[in-house]
Amino acid sequence: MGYVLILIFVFGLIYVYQALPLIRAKNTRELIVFSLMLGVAFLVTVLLVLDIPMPSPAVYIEAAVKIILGVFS
Amino acid sequence: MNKEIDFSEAVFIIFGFIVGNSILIIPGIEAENLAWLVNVVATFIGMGLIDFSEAVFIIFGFIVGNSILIIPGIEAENLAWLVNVVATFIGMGLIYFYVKLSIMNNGQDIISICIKRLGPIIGKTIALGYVWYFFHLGALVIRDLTEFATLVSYPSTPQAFIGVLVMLLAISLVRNGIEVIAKFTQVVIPLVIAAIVVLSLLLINQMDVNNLKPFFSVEFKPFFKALFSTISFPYAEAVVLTVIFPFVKPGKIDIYLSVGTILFAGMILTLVTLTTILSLGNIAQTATFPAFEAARTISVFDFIERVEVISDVSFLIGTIVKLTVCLFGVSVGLSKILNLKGYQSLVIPIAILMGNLSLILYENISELIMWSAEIYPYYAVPFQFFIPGLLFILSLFGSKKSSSQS
Repeated sequence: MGYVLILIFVFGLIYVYQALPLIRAKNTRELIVFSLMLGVAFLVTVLLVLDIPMPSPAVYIEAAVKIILGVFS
Repeated sequence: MNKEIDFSEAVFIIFGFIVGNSILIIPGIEAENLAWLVNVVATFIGMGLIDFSEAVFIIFGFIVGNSILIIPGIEAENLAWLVNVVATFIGMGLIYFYVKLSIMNNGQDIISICIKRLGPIIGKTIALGYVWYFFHLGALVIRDLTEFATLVSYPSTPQAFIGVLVMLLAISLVRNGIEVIAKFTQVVIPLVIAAIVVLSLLLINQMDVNNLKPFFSVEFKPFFKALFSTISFPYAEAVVLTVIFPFVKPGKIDIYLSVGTILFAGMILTLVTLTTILSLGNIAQTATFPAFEAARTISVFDFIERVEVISDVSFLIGTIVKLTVCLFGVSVGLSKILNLKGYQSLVIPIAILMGNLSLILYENISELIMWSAEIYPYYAVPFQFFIPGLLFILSLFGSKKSSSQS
């Protein structure tokens, strides 16, 4: 749980550092994109820290490549 | 002797330097009747543009990058050097093709060309595919580095910690813009080249020509498989480099300088491959990081030993350059797809996600090596050949149509 608290602190700092200039510049579009992406990054990092298994995209890419190669061979 | 001059006098020198030969060679003339606009924009954002002679260092660093230690084409056993020679020539053709594609589209990158030629819906979908490819490539590069570091140098350090340190440097470089990336590569790439040459010279007494024998013992199929794999990694990955072309001063993209850079990078990679095979022999095929293993064997007069740290540092520098270009490509590409004013705000979240992906992708180094050798070359084909080929044909017809209309 301690690691999650550290993550909340670090991500909070990043958000303040990056979002404040965007808010001041009234850059709404960039602020929304940044907030969404940082939110996803935070979620994935928390899952990694808590050792919750996540599916690897490499597995799906490998399956897709094998299907395509199978079709062509 | 050192006569000081006023700033008012220096102004004339600066003006003369900027205008110089550009009076006759009009920059941005590829933009046809909008060349004036290109020059106005370039004047205002002059701080964010680089000369092509600076971009050359980025191209070299990107190609050599993490290939210094993971020798491409080593599957071809003692013919890996020949694989590298052939792949270099094909790589030269590929960079010519990518640069030509960019020049045909007024120096734009592959993302903008996709959107321009294929329309907003299909174009942006394919452009998103490219952003994923750059993102995945960046994650692969980080994983290569963290695996190397934990396997060889820092076995007790968690991979995530090494990844964070490298990402911090890459974030700093990308957020500060292309000029800083170019300056960084200008400083570090000569050191990488010097390190490779020095290591090769120090390995001379370990080399055995018999390690190259029997000549041409490899069959055609493994040879071509190794060649295909070597073309896709690292030469055809040069498609990522198109993201730096819009940041090169208008009209300064030099197609032949790019080809020459790939030739030089290929020569360096061939030198590394040849020295590794000559000094390690059959062990080179089984080693995880063959060039590092070769550097480990250096012993000159029992005095110069344990110099593998030089190859360690070269690999680190090359990897950082490649990672920086990938991170830059993803940030710039995504900002273009989402019509954002700048890319800087995206750099940190993308870097964190890239680092996370590098940890999720593979269970261990064997899986990484197997995937990179067996799956990656086929997975990269659409991004490296098919889509650029299609865009090239569309650009060719597009430019013919516009010239016939004018």
